[in-house]
Amino acid sequence: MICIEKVTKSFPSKVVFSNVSITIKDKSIFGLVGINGAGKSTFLRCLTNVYNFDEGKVLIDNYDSSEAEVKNNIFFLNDDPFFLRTDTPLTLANFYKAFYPNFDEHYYRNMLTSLKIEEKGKVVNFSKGMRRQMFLAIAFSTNCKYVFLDEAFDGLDPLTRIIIKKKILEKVEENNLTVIITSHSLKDLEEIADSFAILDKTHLIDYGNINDKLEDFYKFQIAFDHDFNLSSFSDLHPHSYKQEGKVAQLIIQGKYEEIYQKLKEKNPILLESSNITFEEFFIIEIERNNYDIDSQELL
Amino acid sequence: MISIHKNYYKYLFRKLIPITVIASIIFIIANFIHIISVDLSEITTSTYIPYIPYDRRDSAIATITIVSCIYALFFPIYIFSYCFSKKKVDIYYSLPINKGSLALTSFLGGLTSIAISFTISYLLGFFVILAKDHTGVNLALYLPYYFIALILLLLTYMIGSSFALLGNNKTDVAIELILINLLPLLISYTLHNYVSDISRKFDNHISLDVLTPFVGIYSIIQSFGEFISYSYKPTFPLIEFQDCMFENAGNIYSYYTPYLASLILFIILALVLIPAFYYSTKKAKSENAALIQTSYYGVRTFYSILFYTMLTFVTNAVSNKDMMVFLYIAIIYISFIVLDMFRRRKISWTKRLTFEMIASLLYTIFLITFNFTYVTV
Repeated sequence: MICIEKVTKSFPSKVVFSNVSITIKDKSIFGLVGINGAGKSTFLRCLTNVYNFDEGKVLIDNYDSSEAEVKNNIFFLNDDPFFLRTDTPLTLANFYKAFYPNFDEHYYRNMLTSLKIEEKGKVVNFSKGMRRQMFLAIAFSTNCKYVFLDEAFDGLDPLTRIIIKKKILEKVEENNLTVIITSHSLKDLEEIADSFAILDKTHLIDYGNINDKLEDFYKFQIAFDHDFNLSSFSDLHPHSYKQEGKVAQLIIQGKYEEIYQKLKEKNPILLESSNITFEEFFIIEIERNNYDIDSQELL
Repeated sequence: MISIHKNYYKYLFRKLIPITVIASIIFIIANFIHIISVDLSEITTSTYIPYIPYDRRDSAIATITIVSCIYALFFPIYIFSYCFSKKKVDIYYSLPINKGSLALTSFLGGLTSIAISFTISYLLGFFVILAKDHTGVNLALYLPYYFIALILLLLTYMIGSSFALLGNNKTDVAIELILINLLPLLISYTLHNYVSDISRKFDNHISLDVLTPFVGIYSIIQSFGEFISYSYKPTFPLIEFQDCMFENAGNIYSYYTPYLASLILFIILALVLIPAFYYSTKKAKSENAALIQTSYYGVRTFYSILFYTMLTFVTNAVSNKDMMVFLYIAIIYISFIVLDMFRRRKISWTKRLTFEMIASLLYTIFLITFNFTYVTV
């Protein structure tokens, strides 16, 4: 289990995040999300001791995260990992073998074969997707209990994303891994992550179980045969409202039956409901935090 | 706790094998070029000197030592390159090894590589001396010389490593390492005129140039080279040394004093940098990797020292006899701005440049006034 207690990190020009506390359970896939520059990557770097927190502490399995014994169980894969021009998958494995005594070379070679990656090919000649898969193979071969993946899906084609998600889920299932993933691809995160945290404007604005949070919100499509606008739904306090002609889409938080009943009482000619996506939830949370999306779009 | 990471050391050792081999070849080639050039000069000048001065005969070894020391000074830029790139920092500092142990193991890996390259080339150099006319040298002394040279390499490597670990990027560190060799020489020659009366009393050997690591290294190599070639009269240098240190301590004109001063200063410099090395491994902020150095430690201050030294040098050399001094100052100032912009990797005017402009103007006026007074008096 990872216990992050009141951590703060600043750079000379700005505070990256302040007073953040999160608990991440074992055997979970944790999605860390936020807008660009929210401090997700810095947060992962601090967790892995690449950077030091200014304040607060991180306990991993009840030990300080800076202890080498704890770090034996942590693997951090940044968004664009370094390799030499002369490196091959095998030479890179030799490097990581020096530090991770439980590195499973047999598993690594099998994974390279299954991913159709040449063992002796030059990494520099690989596509971004192949490199990402190869580094993921390294991450899983180290047999670390905690794997931190920065921008895990970004810039990858849909097929590669499916392969990577499948591999992550397999490994979590087989080896009881705990994976922290930062990504802007919220759809992918929604598919595999069970818990999440949103960082914005130096603060943790929400965190918890994804399904629990999403079950709290409902998306309704509603149509009337007369004119209407947002004020027609003021009693329901919608988080999101979009209207095109006589059809509107609302996202409302609360108990489903109560909301449905109130909408039904307005005599719509169409009323349909569905669950919201993680992406919609993210936008709601960011807007709640006074982030003016409209003005950003104008920019 | 800082300790050696054995597995990483083994990995590093294997990784450095090609570089070790290439370095050995470079040292050997440098040595052979020197030997061939000495032999050719003897043939072309048609003079055979039965006793060839040490600096020609034994420079076979000295060349290897000097080239290795230059290599040892700059090699840490490669060894500690993980500090200069954000991508590398992400990988290396997230590994299960603390920063101190990573630095120490990398340091030892690089040191091993240098020591092996030096040993191979030294042995070959020694065989060349054996094959040639080696009358007038005591071959047995090549063994202690080898260990002394290893200590020199260690000290030089220590200096390079400290600067590499405290720096943020390769360019700044390379410039710092060049300037720590260049600045003491420049300052020494610049101040020479101002302190000429004093320096005449203390012999010209006693000047700030002994602070320059490579003057120190060269002096040490030279003195031990002499020791080897004079060894058919083995007591001679010892008596000189004893005279200098004990019996005739006031006689600082002794031939060996500058060498000793160099050695002592060089060792002090290296020793002072050990805490810096330790501190930098513990406290250096990895988020500064690849950034332009903004602290006053290192290259930023070195540039200012270089600038004011050059101003002093020109003002002193040209004196106030004509207006040419202003032309030279303008050239130096423009060079300084170009250097500063090169360091920052962007072209923009900063508050610091404005400050330097005003300060340098006042400084030049002061120097011209001082020069005038000094010359008049």
